Amino acid sequence: MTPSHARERVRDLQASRATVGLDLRDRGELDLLLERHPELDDSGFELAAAAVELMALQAIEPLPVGLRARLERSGREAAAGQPVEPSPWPRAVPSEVATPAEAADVEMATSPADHESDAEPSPPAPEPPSVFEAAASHPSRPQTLPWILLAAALAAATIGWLRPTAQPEVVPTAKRPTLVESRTLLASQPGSLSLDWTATEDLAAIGLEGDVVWHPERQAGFLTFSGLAANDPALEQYQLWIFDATRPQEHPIDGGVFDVSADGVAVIPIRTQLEVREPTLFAVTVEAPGGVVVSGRERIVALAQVS
Amino acid sequence: MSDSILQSVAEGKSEAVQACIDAYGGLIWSMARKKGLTQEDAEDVVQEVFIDLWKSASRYDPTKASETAFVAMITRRRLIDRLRREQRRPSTQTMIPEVHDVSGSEHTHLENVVEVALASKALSQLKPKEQRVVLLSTYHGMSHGQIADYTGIPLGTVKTYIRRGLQRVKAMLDEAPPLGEVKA
Repeated sequence: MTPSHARERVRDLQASRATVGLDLRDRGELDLLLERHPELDDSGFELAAAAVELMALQAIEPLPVGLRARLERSGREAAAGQPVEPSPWPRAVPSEVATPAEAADVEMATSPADHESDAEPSPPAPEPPSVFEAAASHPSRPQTLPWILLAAALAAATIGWLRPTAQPEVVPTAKRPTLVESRTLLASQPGSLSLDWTATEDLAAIGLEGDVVWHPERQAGFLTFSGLAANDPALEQYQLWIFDATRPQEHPIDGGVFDVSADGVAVIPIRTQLEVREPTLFAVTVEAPGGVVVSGRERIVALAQVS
Repeated sequence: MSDSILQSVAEGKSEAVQACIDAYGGLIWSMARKKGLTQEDAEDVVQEVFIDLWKSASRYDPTKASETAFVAMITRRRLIDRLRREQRRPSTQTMIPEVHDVSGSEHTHLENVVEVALASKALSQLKPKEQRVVLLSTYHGMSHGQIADYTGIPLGTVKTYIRRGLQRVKAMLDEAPPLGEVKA
């Protein structure tokens, strides 16, 4: 195997390790290749996958009280230099355990195409951060203020839409504002856009009123509807699309799917996976449950144009 | 410069244990639950991850990654291992609802993690189809085969998209100066 082939194969295996894990054979192959090419040994793909997951994570739930107590006990034992193992800890009480339906949801797909996830269970996860020892072989990079400022600006400009507040991982104890309150607050912020919906001739839109509130800097917004027909989520869902002047018009930004209950009134927070740079049009379509990647635009129910 | 939480754990500071649980317990728990694990299995994974952290806190290097990204990476390893060991992957039923969950979930407060901003920037440079595949794989935890079935994209292309996407993120992380939390 030439060095370039080896590099490609190592990268393939590292990408698989970062996403679906490796079976014993692939793990052995990776170990062998890294013995021959130790310069390729890094955890960059795993760190990249972790970064993407953090980026997409939409909610942080508080730890269950019982679990927290067990963690604190094991932590104290570890701090005292005592060996810590997980198994003796009590399990969740029955009422906390997932229902059979929930458990059924996570059964593995049996598609033959799914071979890479497959047959052989991998051995227990390796000792964790060897990756960072490997990563330590990377050239040291100077820590410069401009970069930190750039990163801060980038975080604010690019990611602020994902998480509007800045406190690290503290579960707030105060009562959270309702969606209506949050929408009202956002609408009152300088720079916020407020656009009325224009109903189309689609039957679901008869009597439709409401608006879009969007704040470009915060990359956050809300849809408000009244008179929009209720949908059956098992059959169809509404999906928001945001057209951005800086992106191809055939690929508007997916704003997520949502449901409307029988009263026809809804306040929906806008959630996008991409930065909305120059919004030109907000559109709501009716799509198959779960939404689509590319809309056929057969049923457009509401439009709100940025003037 | 003050020690990170993990550095304080490594130094045996008892208060750091509590701080570590406070800072990362919810994150690890949420990542585990997001993968469709039962409460019981998710609790097991959280315990395993924290034991990893207690044992190896001294090996955390703040110049290589932010603590949050490091913890997330360790968590992912445990989750991937667990899912493989139990021969299962989250079903497609667990995948999409996250996108349209409008029930008022807590904010994640991760916007000050440098890797998050860099990952977002890197993904924004990908085609929508590639972004979708990367997210289905990394966030939703679907296997390559499941993604191929779900999207109709050939298996080989799915793998290519994932590798290309992660390579893009990796390159951006590699090019950045020392990683860490952005200080407010």
